[in-house]
Amino acid sequence: MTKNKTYAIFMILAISLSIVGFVYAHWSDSIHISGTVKMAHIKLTIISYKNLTSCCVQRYSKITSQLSPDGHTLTLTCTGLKPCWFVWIGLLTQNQGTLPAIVKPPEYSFDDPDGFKDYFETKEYYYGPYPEATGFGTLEVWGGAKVSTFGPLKPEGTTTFKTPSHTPPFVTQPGEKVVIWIWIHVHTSIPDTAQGKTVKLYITIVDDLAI
Amino acid sequence: MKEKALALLTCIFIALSILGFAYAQWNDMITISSTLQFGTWSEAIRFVEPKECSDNEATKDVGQFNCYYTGEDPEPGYYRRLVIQMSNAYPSYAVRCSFTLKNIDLGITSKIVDVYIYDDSGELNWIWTTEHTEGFLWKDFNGNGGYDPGEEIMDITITELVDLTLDPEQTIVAEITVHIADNAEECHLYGFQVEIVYERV
Repeated sequence: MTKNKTYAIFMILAISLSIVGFVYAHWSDSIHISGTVKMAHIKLTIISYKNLTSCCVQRYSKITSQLSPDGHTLTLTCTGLKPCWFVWIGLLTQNQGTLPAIVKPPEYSFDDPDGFKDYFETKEYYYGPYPEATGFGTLEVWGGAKVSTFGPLKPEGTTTFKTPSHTPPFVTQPGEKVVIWIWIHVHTSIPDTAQGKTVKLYITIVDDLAI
Repeated sequence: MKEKALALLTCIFIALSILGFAYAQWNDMITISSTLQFGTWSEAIRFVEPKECSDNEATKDVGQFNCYYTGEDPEPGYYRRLVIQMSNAYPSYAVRCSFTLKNIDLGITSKIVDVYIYDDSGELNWIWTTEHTEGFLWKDFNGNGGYDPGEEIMDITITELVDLTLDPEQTIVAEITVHIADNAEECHLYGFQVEIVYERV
């Protein structure tokens, strides 16, 4: 009998609470603020590259280059290094992101178990930025570039382009392109033990938000 | 005795029948009409114009934003939802939106009782730093189930609304600011909801 009473009280309470909840639901309401955020991205990419050197260097050294899948790093494999060995690396880069990017000097790293990197020197020249639609085949600083003692890419590391070069850091807008010429040279002080060896050189472009 | 009672009942029955017949012949209809008006309270607080949005880009135009009301209810000019869309956003980009709330009920006072902020996709989690007004959405990048410094995605600041009472026809201007934190991921799409709960007083 007592059990039945308890059960009945419990049921009454449950039903009452359900009704209270139902009534409350009818007397409370809400309004909303909905937000979406689509994030931008920053992406400075190498879209084309060249490695140029003199006929003299080509006779004793083989230089191959390979671009990483993300377009950020160019790997150079150079054989038969000697004093005064040099190469001109041309990088055609584009801001393929959706934000303005700052062009900065590239980063260099070496596979150099013998400490070769101490005997390398580099110089960089920056041209642009150029609008996205620019045709580079006939552009003086890209299509017309060659290594010669008369220029525009001189063996001793200077250029004779009529187009003035930029000094980084500078800003490129989305879609714009920049040409970078890098002169890489081996000092005359390279020790005999290092000569004739093969070196892997990694050139990585650096992007940074320009806001 | 039994017969007397039966006769009395029969007399009453016949009398009532005659009375009913007579009434049917002479009656007319009197209609008492009444309307039970249940409150339209569930249409109490709505977003109304004006609203105003801006971002923190003084000279550049990199990030874009779009703010609008939607979900007209119960009639044009009253809205259930404010939408804030940010695109090409980047760390430190911020959008501020001021909006107007109105108690559109003519007779019932309403009170805002709570504000919830959440991401209904479950990707982001919410933490209040100042109850009801400031906090941030974070993402469990390292998967340890808890917040760690460096997991903030966006900071949200909103005017204190909880315990605010709005009398019939009363309006109030409030403001929400969304600020993108340094850890927000490139090319990613994030979402958030702010739910403002109110009830009758």
